[in-house]
Amino acid sequence: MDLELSVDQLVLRDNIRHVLEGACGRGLVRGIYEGTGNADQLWKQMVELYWPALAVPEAHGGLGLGFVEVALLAEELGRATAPGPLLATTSQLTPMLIEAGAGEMLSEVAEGARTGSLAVAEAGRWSRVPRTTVATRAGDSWTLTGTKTAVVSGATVDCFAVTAVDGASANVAIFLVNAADAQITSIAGLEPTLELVDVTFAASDAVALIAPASGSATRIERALEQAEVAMAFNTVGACRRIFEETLGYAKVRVQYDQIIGSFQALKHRFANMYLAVERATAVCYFAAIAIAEDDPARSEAVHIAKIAAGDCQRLVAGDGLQLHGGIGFTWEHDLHFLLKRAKAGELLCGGSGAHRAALAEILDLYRSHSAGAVTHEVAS
Amino acid sequence: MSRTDTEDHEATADLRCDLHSWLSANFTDAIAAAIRQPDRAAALRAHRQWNAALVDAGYGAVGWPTEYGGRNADIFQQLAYNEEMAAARAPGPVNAIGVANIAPAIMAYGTRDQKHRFLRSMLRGDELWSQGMSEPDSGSDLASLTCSAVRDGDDFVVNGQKTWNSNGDVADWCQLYVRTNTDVPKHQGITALLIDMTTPGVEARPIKTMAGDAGFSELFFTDARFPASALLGEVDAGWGVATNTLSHERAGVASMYLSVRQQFDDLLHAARMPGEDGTRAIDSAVNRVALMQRFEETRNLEFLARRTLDAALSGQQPGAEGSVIKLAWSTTSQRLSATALEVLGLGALDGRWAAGLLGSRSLTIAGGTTEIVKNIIGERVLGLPREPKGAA
Repeated sequence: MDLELSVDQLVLRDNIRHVLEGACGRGLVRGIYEGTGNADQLWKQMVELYWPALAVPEAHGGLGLGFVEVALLAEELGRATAPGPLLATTSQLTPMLIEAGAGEMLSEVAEGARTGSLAVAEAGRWSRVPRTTVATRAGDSWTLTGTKTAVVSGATVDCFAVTAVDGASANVAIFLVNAADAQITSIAGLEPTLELVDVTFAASDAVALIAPASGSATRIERALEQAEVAMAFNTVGACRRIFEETLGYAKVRVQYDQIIGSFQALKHRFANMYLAVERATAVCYFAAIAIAEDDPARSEAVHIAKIAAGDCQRLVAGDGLQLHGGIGFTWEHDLHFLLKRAKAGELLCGGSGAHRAALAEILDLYRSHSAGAVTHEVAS
Repeated sequence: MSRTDTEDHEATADLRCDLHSWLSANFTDAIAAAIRQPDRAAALRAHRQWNAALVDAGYGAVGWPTEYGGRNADIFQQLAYNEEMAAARAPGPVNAIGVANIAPAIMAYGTRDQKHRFLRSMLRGDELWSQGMSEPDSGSDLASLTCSAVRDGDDFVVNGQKTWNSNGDVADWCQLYVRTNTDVPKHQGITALLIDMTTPGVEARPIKTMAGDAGFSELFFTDARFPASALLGEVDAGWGVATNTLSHERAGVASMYLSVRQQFDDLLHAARMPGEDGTRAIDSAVNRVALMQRFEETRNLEFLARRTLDAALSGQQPGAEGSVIKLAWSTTSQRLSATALEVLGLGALDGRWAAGLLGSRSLTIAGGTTEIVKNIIGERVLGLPREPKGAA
């Protein structure tokens, strides 16, 4: 396993960055924040560049690239605080469709004709195991009842891939529900470009993507892991940009007749931030490669990556704002777009605490410990 | 897990396999215990004996040229070597600083005679080496050093004091940095010498650390006279000798993260052992959280180091990123040692965990304090301006 990116991967990342710098500038993001713009043109451009087709297998009209490329895309989307359904469609819907072998829908995704998100979190928590969303079978068709929260890009996607428990067998499953068949409530408060929503299903029509069966939980988990790591990359992408912007500011801002970056009190904080970003990047790459190569360390790596991204965010968003001083606290300055993306990314797809608890279980930290004392939100 | 595990070239796989079986046969529990014993003189004797056997078997500094006792190993083989040595918990070279820092300087700046005189015996541990850099008034600001050498004919006459010299009291030789010119900027008047410690006018006094261990010394020079052949490199060019030859042995980071991982595994094992009343440290939720955080840091260090290594394996030149690893390694290791006492409780106030805590405190001071390391990252990696000199 090589933790360095290949030349092709570096070129892909640079191309994505270059396109987003032009097509997804701060003006566009500010337009979303202030309700004066939308991401329609950006999405069109992304489709023309085949970005939704990135990880769709070639047999279904896609580019057939792997998870490392999806992760790099997620990182760049975080760096640009890009609005629109690409992050959810490539890192949430597509892995689930691939796991389900839903070829026709994958072709639609590749063409840009289908967007979608995962609807997983319930009662304010991301849990790989659904508890309150229940599926009911009627002949060949299914209906879903329950409420999912913090669904990414939920205001604009065409469909949701929903985790639910089969009321009859108690097995878990993934269902596809069209957005039109669900009740959607915006919760876009903190980070409007992610277009978070609550989705309520009231006997909504559903199609089983991964039907309830004894092995279904494992297949679902493999796709959820990809969404979690992609969100870690999205967070780290925003963090690295915060770090770069803050570093740039410290090299030009003058106080006491000195460039403020020359002061040790600041320099040391930059060294800490740099270490945090580099460390989180290294751990995230490891997780992406572990998923792409289906390495035995995969499950452990996913949790460590999401924890590292969350911890990185806590330091870099805090110090990034602090070292900008008053200007960083204004609405007029663009820094807050990045701070908010990073903060939301820490909580989405499981926060550090939940992933820590799940990691503790994998590590067997609870061995021989009295059972039942601790609950694990992320672990199945 | 790194690509060396899965994609060892044949030569690398052979080295790994040969070293593994050689260590299994030769690095016995008795030898390991002898090197770890509290009696320093006896431990050093055992370490030298082991070190010589290791070098004679061809497993000294594998990256060195064969003519000095190495194997000309490439970085893949060096990494495999470091991994196997760490896995066996085999100690590093008896001349640790010599092999890592002094030898590269001799290879780069030494005369033919110096190379042949010193390198092989240093590697084997036949002669012990110390290094004279820090002074009581020159710690982080090393270039301000004042221990002086004055030319008298061809000889160098040295007066002054050095401190924090590893093995200074038992060393046969010392790489010494002295002031030879006070009329030029401080970095341009320093010279490197290779001196015989038995020379009259050289005195070593052991320093006992707060951890209670010996091993460091102060060195005092009173009209100590060294021949012209002691000169390493050019007169007044010693700063370049010091800075260009800091450890380039990047594969060494593998032993860093592997040893931290072993420490963590040992701590986890200890935390699972039931006490006399049957309870275990790990039964506490607070302890589990602390262990968890140390585990993450340990893994984070590993991936950070491996990413740097992979950059080295793909041919990138070493840069100041080593400072990032030093920062991560020293702080991670220190927190792990502190957590050990918190988790294991009163029973850890004696023995290896207490010693580990005390010893770990030096990691953020020795070889560049954390503060200086952060300055280096800020200035050389991130391109921030130097701090302005204090206004008069």
